[in-house]
Amino acid sequence: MRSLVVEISGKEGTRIERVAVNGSGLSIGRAWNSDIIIQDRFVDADHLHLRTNQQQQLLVDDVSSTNGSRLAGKTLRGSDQLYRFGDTLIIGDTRIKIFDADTSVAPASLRSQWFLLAEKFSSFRALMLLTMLAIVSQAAQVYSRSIEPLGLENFLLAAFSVVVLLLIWSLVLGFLAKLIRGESNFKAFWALGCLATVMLNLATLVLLVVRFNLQDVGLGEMLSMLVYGVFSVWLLAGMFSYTTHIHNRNKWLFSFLIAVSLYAISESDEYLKEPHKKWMSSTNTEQATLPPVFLMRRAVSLDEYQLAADALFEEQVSSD
Amino acid sequence: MKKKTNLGSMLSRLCQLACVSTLVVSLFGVSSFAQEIGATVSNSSTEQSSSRLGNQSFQNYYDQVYQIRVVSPKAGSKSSIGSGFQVSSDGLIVTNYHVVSSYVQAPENHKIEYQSHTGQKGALELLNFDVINDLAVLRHSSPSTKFLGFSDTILNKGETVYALGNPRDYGTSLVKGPNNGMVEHSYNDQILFSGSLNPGMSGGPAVNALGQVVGVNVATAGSQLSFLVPANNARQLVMDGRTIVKGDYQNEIARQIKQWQRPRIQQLLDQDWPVEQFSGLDLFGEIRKDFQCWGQTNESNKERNIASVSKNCSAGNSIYLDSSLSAGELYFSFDYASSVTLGDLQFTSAIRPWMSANNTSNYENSSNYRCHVDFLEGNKASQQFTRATTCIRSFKKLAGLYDSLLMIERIDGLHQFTTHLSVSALEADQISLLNRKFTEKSL
Repeated sequence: MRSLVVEISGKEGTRIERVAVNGSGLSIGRAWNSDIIIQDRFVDADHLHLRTNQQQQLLVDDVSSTNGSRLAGKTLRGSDQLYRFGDTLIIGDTRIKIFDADTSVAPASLRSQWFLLAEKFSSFRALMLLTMLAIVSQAAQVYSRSIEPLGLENFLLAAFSVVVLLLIWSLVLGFLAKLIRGESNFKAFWALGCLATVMLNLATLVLLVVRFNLQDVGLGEMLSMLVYGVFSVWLLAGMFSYTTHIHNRNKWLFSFLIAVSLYAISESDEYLKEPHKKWMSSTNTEQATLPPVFLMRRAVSLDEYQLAADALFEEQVSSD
Repeated sequence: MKKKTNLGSMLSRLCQLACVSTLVVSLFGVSSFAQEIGATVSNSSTEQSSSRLGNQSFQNYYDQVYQIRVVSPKAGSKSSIGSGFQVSSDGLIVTNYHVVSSYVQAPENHKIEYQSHTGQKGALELLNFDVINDLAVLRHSSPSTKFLGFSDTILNKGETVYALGNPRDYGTSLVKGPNNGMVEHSYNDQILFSGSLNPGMSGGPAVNALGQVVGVNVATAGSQLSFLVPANNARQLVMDGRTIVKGDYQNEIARQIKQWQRPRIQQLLDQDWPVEQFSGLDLFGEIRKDFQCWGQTNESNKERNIASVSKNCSAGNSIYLDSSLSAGELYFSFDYASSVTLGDLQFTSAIRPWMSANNTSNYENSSNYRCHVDFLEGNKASQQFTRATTCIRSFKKLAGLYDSLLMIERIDGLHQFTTHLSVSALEADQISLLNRKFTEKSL
């Protein structure tokens, strides 16, 4: 006597039955007195027989059916064929898989941290608050960047564009998530979008202050690349969590690879340039300029400055 | 801050353009120029009868003009043309440096040839050149018995000068016009000649009524504004008697520029810079006769967000070395900007520190600028900062010479004061000293 689990997938969907097989075996077919009833018009009333042998192995036998049976891709011929658990049996339009009920199943998948994050902002109030935060951060960004006086309409436009972008972002990704993961996670995407907007604007502001104080265009560009790189990986990982089922480790790996390749594509032009194309008659210095309150760096005396500036001549000699 | 081009630098650039275009064989329609030159010729011939030299004797001077061609054997045709004249019995020919500059920059790819009035052609050998005064001495393999002599007398203002040359390869022409004395805003001596020199006439002789050479045609700024190199400079170069070795051209150019720049800059370092007011600040302006300043404001712009007053000054000299390289420019500017409509953060966002070279160059000739930026100590009491930027690039072929850009920005609330100094082809010690004096004087 063995306890089995049978998974039957037909046109109407999948059902799972638990059956016990004893000495007399099991019958599979369309007949109402079959042990496992298959409602498929291409299946005979008595189509297949299952039984166990002395070694407790499962044997399968086609009872001269009209349309035949297939086991693991091959037509079932002769009686008492050995069945290995998990192999696919096809009769008519129906697929059957049989498992041993005693084997253990895989441990449950962990619901990722991303969903805990999404749950924190799942309430309407929390989402509204987050949306407001995103709008405010965007408005601040627009203000600090503009070199023209701004009116109310500029801020309204900023708010409107944030909402429209969030809507498009959440709908498109929600649709993808429904296709791939089976759930749309619309709210989660909205929360992620708001968080990303706030973080991006904050990072930009912090970078501006840091780069203004650094006044080193090479170092500044590297810093920006690093900050925006980490941000992109984080955002991509979030998108993968809500859209797909892929594992945690792969999620970060893929996000990293995508971020790196996007960066490589955008910068390849500059790296592949020949030296004479990189030549410029103008200077390339840090553009970031902020009001004096943001300056935290110690100012130098004219003598100190000149000493450092004079070192440029030596650099020139060594670079050529 | 973007530098603004003013009329002064436009003028010098115009001259530069003219210098350059003398080298380029015309692409313009033949008819329009034939008219221009036709007018010139008839003009000279009708008025010549009143001068001491009759039409008959001037015929001889036409014969003294050689067309100088720099030929690129690979291309199989001339790459630049100019004029020249023989000054000694042993066949020394004087022309402009810029006529033969493509040969000097790449002797292995070029040959210098002449064509006499009879159409006879032959090879010329480059002996000596002077990049500062734009002169060159060549040797003629089969010298003519006739040659021109230099004038010993002082050329008076208003005296008629006859410039000869072969404009655009149409045939030797004579252009008559008065001498107006020396060009005012120039460190080097140059004669201001009111006649239309045309491309191709560069290097031709300008003679007085006695037929003695008083100058060498060199450049034009258009509409009867032309320039001659004084004959004395040419005489000195011929008397110098040196022959520059072919492989040593770049070292010689570097040496000449250094020799010219040393006293030119030292004088600026030693002398006082007369105080001139700018936006209520005690600054300076036309610090020597070769500097010219121009000022502008954006007051007329009713929609301006930033009110700006600026002044820029430049020295009148630029050394033409090649179609892609010039050197020796001196330029400085002041800019005072105040916010009209913007807040603190927006005002500073509008500032984009950026500088660009004032001399022509390219990858072959200059390295990229390398910069040092820092904040200078200032008035600690008020809410302000002073940012200084120094950028240096070196000449790849002229060892020991550098271009420098200096910018100092002082931000004080909603006001910004920017000074900018750009110098070309100086040695390191002079750049350092000049930058220092400029910074101290302008802060």
